[in-house]
Amino acid sequence: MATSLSNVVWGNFSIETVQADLDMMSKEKAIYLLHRALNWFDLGGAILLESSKKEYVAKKKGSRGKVTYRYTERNYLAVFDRPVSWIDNVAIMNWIALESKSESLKLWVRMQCIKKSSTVRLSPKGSKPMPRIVYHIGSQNQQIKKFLETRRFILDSLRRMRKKESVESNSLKGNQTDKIDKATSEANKK
Amino acid sequence: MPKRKKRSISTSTRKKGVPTSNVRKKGVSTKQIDRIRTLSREGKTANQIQKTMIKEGLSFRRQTMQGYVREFRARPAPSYPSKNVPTKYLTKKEKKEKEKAKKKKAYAKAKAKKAKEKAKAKKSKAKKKKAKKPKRARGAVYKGYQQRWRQRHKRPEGRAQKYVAEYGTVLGEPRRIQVYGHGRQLYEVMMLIGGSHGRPPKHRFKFLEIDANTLLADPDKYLIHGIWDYKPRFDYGD
Repeated sequence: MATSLSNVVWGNFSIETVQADLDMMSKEKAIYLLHRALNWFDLGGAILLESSKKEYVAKKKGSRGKVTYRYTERNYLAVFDRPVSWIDNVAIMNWIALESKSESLKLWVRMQCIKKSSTVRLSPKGSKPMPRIVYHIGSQNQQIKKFLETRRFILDSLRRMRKKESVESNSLKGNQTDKIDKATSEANKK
Repeated sequence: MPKRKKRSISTSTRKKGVPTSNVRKKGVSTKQIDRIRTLSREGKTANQIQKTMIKEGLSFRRQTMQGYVREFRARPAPSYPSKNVPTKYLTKKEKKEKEKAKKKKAYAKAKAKKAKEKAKAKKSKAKKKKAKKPKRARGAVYKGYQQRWRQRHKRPEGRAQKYVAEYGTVLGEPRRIQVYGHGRQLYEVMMLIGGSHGRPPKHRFKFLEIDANTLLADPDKYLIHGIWDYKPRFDYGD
């Protein structure tokens, strides 16, 4: 049952908070974009979350497994503090996507526009861990506070669910072993 | 080098009852007076000056010396308490003055007492005011249409709602459920969606967006038959 949970992804969706999925970017560039958006739209404060990272390794033929080039690709998530209307939110997200010049972010923004609400992942997804806070700046009282509350809530409830499932599976296993023991004891008597 | 003239003692610092050094008293030489001046300028007390003078062989009567010291340090003579003379030995004028002074003293005392009492009363009043609870301000009373409008638009709880989205694939097809609500109800909904089945339930359409309370009222109705949509809806609770 524990594996079944990994198929599903939990996230925070909203129309008021400005969120952005900064995929395939260095940390410096992500922070630079964060600051630019903060100053351009007066968004009060922001946090940066590291969602996942992937390591690419290049090897030469006949080098006996010697690594010639190593490259780590990092993905980030950005959440801003000031609440905005959905129209403003779309404008800000598109501005960030254009400034970043990354195709994956543009695609993500289009998907959010179709859904009419921006969503950001909070739970672990397959082998990827849950997003961690890497950087924060400015005020954190309004939308970021709400976001962190929902994050805490989701992570806690997931942990509780896992505990429940493990207890249930253990009890099932215990019943099965009892049955097997009974059967063996009867056979021995015979 | 011409000899420097001896400075005469200034009269500006002279006060009532202080003997002046211009009037040289009997048995006191100018040498002694000069010595006292230098010592007093150094900041020495009358006792110290007297001791040094005795050592140097320039000492004289202490009371006269003190007069000089006071002058150089510009200090008045101590005021000794006047002797109490019984009224029967006083003249008529003196008697009247004495009575007046007595009355003045009594009046000043009474005034001071009154002022003290007033201050005490003020303090106690302030304390009482502090101890008193402030009156609760009555809120504005709305009637008719305004009252109904307020009841309709009143938020159910003060806390902010949480918006949780669950998305994944069910047998190769994408499904998405968006739920909003408060803590316990949301957790129960999460258990319904993610805990028991392990994934969003299979449905003909892709999207479902719903309040946690309404879903909990009849979960089968919404999850299995419910109000799913092939495209995202735009109905939010808040």
